[in-house]
Amino acid sequence: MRYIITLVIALVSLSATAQKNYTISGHIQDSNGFEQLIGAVIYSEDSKEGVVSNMYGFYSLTLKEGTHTILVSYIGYNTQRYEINLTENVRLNFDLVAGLTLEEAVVTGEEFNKIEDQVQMSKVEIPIDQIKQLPAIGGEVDILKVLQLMPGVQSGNEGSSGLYVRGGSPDQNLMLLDGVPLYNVSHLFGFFSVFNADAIRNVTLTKGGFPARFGGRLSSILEVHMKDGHMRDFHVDGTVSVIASKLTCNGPIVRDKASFMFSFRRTYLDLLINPLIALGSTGDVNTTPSYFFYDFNGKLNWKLSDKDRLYFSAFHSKDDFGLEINDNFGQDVVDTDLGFDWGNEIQALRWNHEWGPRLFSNTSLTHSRYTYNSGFDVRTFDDQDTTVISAIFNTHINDYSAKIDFDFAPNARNMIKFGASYIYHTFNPGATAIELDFGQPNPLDTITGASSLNSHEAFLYVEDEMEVSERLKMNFGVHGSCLNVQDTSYFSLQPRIALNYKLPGNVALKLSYAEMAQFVNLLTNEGLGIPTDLWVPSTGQVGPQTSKQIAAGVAKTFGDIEVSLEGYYKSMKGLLSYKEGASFMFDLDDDWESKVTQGIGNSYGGEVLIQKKKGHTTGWLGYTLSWSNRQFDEINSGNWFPFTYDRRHDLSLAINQKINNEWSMSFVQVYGTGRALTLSESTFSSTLPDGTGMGFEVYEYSVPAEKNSFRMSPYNRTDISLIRTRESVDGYTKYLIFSIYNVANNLNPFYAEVDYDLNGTPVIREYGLFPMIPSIAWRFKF
Amino acid sequence: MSRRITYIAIAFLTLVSCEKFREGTINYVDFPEHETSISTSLIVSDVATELHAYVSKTASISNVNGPQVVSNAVVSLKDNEGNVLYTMTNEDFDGEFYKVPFSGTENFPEGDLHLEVDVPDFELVTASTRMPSGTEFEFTFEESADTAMIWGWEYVRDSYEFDFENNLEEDDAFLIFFEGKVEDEFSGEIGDWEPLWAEGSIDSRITSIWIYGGILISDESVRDDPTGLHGINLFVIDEDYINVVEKRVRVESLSDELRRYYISLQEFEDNQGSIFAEPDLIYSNVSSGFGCFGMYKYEVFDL
Repeated sequence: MRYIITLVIALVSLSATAQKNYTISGHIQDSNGFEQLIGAVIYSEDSKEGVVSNMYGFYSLTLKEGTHTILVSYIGYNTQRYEINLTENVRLNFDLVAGLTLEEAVVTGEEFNKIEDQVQMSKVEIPIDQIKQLPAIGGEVDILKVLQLMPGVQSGNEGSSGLYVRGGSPDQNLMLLDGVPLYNVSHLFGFFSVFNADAIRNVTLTKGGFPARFGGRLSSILEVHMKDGHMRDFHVDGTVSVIASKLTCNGPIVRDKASFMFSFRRTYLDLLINPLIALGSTGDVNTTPSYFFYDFNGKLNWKLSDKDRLYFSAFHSKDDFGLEINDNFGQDVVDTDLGFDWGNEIQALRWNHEWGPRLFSNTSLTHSRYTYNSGFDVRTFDDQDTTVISAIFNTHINDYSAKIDFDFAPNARNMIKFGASYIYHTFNPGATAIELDFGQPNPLDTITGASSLNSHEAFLYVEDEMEVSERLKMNFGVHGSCLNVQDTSYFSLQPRIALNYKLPGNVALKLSYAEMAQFVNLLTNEGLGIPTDLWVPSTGQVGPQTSKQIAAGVAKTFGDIEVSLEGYYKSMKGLLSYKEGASFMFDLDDDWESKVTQGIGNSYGGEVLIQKKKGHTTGWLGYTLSWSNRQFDEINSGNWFPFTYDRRHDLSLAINQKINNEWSMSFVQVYGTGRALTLSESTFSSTLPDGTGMGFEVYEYSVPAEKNSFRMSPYNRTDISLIRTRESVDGYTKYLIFSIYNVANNLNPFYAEVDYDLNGTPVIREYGLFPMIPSIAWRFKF
Repeated sequence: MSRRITYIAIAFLTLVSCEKFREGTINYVDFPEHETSISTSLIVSDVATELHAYVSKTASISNVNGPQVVSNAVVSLKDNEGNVLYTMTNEDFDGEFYKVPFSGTENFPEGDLHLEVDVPDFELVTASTRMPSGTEFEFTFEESADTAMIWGWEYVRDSYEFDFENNLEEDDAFLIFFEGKVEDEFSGEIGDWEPLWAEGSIDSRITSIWIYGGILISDESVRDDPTGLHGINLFVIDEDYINVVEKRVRVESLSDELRRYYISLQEFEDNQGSIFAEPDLIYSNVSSGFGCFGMYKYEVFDL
């Protein structure tokens, strides 16, 4: 009898181990138009296992053979439930139906992917619909300005759309538009970003705990995905605001197979301002200012087969500021033309392919270009000749890249990602075309400045997100990158690890460590903050930037409210800065490397985020306490000094409230410590030899005591908006958006300087930029 | 009722905002409290007959009295062993400088020299430097080598191409002055040495220090190249309305601290009012952050 029981047990064991696993895979998409849904949850209620869709809407879930109840859910959509009997690999696409936007829906499936379930920490996701409801300057919604309201993300100057993430500088953010890096994301001198919210499907910002698939920047990864385009119906979305107007169209090229999306935005500030300036011009002097910006987003999406998709994305943006002055003095006419312009363009061709139910790939070929020009041209015409004084400065960066990424899901407990990329960079750090013609026999017409620099950058990565046990999940991997430039090569091996340990009470304890390397640098003038950014590469003399960041935190969801507390410490090396007194503009010296110096930095702090993404009331409360410092041997006499955007306290509150079907309102409150500035606030006396080599003379100088020793006044701003929505039965929807930026009209300083009043007494003047700005915008869609 | 409240709220906000709007977009803030520091300057030449030390207190820019000279400091110059080489006190103070006779640097010990300035109620101020070793050079001269133009005025230049020795053991920096003796066209008398107008080519090794009147040559960009200071092109303006009967070049080999001090002072002057330039704090090797302790070797070469 004993032997029979033993045999039965052995057979049962054998059959248990012989139970097979099968994979269900496919795409999760919007049922109305087939827009791919990123991060949608697919979950088995029976095995309590699930995965999320990747950035192309693809999922792969391996489960044991047998019957499973599958839940598929995504925020803003009705959850779907399927019963399937898994006896083989199955391909299943799920088309989710949109529910009421931000409607409350407590769904079992979403239990899987709460903040305490995610391994990824230090990540910010704001639904695009929530972004569109927040108040904005001139009614022009801006994605980056909304991200600035998140803890750990500082804004720069008043009005600036730059991101300063955990004490890092703007060049340390990798801004990806459909996977292609953008180098300058600002319009109107940084007041707006180039991202048109109407063309955007999804925005994610990662501030730390970087998975191995990301690299090339130290401080953050911003992923912005354009909409794909509706596969069935033609749609139009337009907005007319005080600042700009935009039009977005999308629809099918071939129904259910191919679609397009394009979106165009242009400002008309020039059309509004020019008549006013013309009124002020006198008869002999005509002044014609001009400023405009525009941006264009376009995408083609082709479903070649069930397993293949092809995408083509294009983006183009431009800002152009100019001033033409014509002085007519009778015999002499002087034409002065000065200004600057900058712009981005990207093109990307991407191919998605499913190699099998567990293996997915994305292959990309991309091009990105950023150009900046500035200068002046003065021509004097008289009876005898023409005098020319002209200097035009140009800098640009051009990237061509090829990239392949794989997602491999061997089972429900592992998601392995691996891939490779190559980028060919061409930098022109700055060249000046100079023309001087005073009627002499040999007028000067030359180009001076840095010559073009080419470099080759490549990286490989592998990462695995693994469910080690019921309580422990981890994501670990390695990112290896290299750069070859000027016969110099740099190599960097960057380990990455992130852990999520679930404590009793469903509280997640998270820990991450990431090393990063960066081979491109942004040199920023610390003056008025006009767009004088120069992108320069690492070279034989200028090494790459590197960082090490450790972060720890806890996270838990209370109903619909996510709460996370995080602390971080980041150390940085190879930071680049202009030397004291250096100026890049119109400098005839072609050696930009001699104008810069490298140093180190650190930043540390704590962040609290309480966020609600669903329901009639949504929004968040964020607070950051942080320090950020720098040290350069050739700046501030080698002493440590606060980073310019070292903000001790940063508090943001954003609330969207749906009042009824017709009305909703939003409120934003921001408070932050003033930024640091270098101001001449001290005088001292010193001596110099008198030129004979024997005597001395005494001189008095007004200088800053130390770099960034002055703090501007704190930043305090309140915005409100009111939106009225009218839907007609034929699907035509109109929105009337009232907003007030800076309701309390606080003078938030944009710049400060030491000046002298009429009595000759020195004073510190802080200049504000934006008073209270009420605005109205009208939006329609069908 | 809710509509009435809304209208009242809008009216209140509008009135408050208009009041604030009327105040304008400029705000005046107080100067931060100034922490007075000691500024010290001591620049020593190997051929000087006196040491001139200057000690003053810094002041806030809003202080109408400005920086004040200190008369009760004790200024000490020490060697690496801590031996005092020179001391200056209130007895040596002439109302502006602390002065003592100086016997030159021939008998100075090897290594760094250390400056200490003790002012009552202030932390001890220190600085260090060392005397550079000087230079050797060769040059080629070409009279009336080329012409240049500035703002429509054309002028002729004599060319000097210098090959300086680049000492790889230390940082080299030389301040070059061209000097000449001019014959008075009426009396025929020959005057004393006076500066000649000179300029350098566009070269990362060359900086014009017009605040002091010289041209600075530095090996900062060519530190590891033994021939890095060859081919330095300097030009002396050929002023045809004066008769220069003798010429010489005065070379001051600067300590690294003095080089950085001169360059930062020059950049400070150049960048006054420029919105494109980085803030300039004026370099200091003095522990208080103000002033300079530097040394230079003084050499003269006939041309």
